[in-house]
Amino acid sequence: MKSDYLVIDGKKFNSRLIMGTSLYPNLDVMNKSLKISETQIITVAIRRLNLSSKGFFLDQLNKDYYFLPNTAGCFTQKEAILTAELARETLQTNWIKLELISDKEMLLPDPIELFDTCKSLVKKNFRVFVYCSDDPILCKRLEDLGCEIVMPLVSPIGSGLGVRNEHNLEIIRRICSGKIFVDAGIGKPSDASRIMEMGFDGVLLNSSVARSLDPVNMANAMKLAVISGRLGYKSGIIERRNMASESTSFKGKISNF
Amino acid sequence: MKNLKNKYFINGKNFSCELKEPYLEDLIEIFLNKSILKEPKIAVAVNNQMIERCKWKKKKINFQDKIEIVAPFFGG
Repeated sequence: MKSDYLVIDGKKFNSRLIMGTSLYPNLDVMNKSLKISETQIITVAIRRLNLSSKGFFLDQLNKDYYFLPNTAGCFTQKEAILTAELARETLQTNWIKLELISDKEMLLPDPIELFDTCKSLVKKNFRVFVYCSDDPILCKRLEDLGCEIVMPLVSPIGSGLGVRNEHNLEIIRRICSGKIFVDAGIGKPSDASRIMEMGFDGVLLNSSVARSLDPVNMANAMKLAVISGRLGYKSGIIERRNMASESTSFKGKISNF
Repeated sequence: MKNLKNKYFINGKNFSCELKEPYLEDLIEIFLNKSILKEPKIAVAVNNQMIERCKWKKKKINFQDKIEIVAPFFGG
């Protein structure tokens, strides 16, 4: 497939897989997993400086990546905006993965607070990658606000439940003309592949790799799943039919007897 | 004579130090115990307002100001 780049904020990317950096058993496994996944963008959190930690997080990465800082753990617009501003200051990037949750148990996005926050962040010249629920109208409204990438969940963060509402995802893909990723809920490589086959622009995942028994191999599997799904989508998947359609012609068959 | 230290609130904890002129940059350096030049990837908020790095030197700190010093960390 020639030149199927993903363009974000004017930059070209070969990989359509964004990887999180949390929950890995150790740094070596994290670095190997990120490397084999061939991801070019990784997510990071913004947290209070820990003076007792051995090394600085960014110094422990083996390779240069584009950083996508998140607002994980924020419940209010004020918290999210301050976190985004601190992220911009420390990482010198306008990119922000906006997470604005409503509760600690399900970690579901708060759509009302989220919408207003997106508006403010776009006004402040952030490139917003917004983690949101899989509501087609909300996704469309967020896209219309000027978010860089709209990223609906397929199921709750870290649940590994995979795609729970394929119909909504189909509608989202149909009505949103911009870049749509899926963020949160991926459990297995086939989930990632299925999403890419539906025409989504990419996948963001973390737990499904980091918490697997073999994160390095799982990262490889996710990479291949994303590539496979994308290739399938671009190749034009055949329409579904309720009846059979012969692949071998009846013409020339020996007579019925 | 009793030595009175100034009290600040940094990263959710009380922090006391002696500063004749309480400016943010000096306070950060005392807190970190090193020059800010050695920590290029930190950002700071005072009373829930982000303060650009170039303004740390002239930003005066009041007692009991709430200061947050943050850095990138593992995240999903």
